Amino acid sequence: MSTNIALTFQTNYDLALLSAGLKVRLVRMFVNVRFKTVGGWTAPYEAIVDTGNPITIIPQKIHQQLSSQILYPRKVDLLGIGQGSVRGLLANVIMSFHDPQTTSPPMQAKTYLLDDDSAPLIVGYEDGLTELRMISDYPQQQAGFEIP
Amino acid sequence: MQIQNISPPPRPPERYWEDSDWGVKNIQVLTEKYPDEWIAIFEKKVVAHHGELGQVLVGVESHGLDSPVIKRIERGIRVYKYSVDVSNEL
Repeated sequence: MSTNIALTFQTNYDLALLSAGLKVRLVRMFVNVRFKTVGGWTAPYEAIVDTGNPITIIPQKIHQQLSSQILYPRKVDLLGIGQGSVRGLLANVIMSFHDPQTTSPPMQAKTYLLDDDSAPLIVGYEDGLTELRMISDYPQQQAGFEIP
Repeated sequence: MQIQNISPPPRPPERYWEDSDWGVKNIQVLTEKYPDEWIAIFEKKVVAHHGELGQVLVGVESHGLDSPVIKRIERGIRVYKYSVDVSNEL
């Protein structure tokens, strides 16, 4: 039996372009997630679902609370287009997705634990989106994960 | 990989989802007020905001708030990606 988790679309507009008379949507798709800590679970966090991101990345102030297993002892540069880089450590964490009705089974995932909080929490492919079927139907404002 | 021997966490309270919806519906105003900041929403109000996530979490903790919505407000188009550039730093 699979578990279905509803995702949320958020539509914003680029303010600079809007003031120039151009309406450009900034669409994000979110999932709510908790991470395993030593004694329980974190508070829920909104995470961006990003099919362009190969792996999940977790800002420092969130991963400081986690029970994680470092997989590779050297830091890796994570580069953003047009911005400086941040650094991160590859680690296994355990996470669980929520929607108002359902909680997913805990999943172990390889993630990058960032050195700072300059990037948001992002759920990417490795051990995350690779483990489920994703539906994204913006015209109908429906999106979700189907977790086998 | 699913973990069978760990119980799932409790679901967030109903108020969390109402605050989450409020944040999505008001994202344009939030972007104007708090560009490139982290915010905490509780009972449909922004109760903390700062460029540093840690400051927002301290604010939330000092008020003893349970499960606020923590949100990063992005101004303009943001694209995140990574390249594997392994350094020697341990």
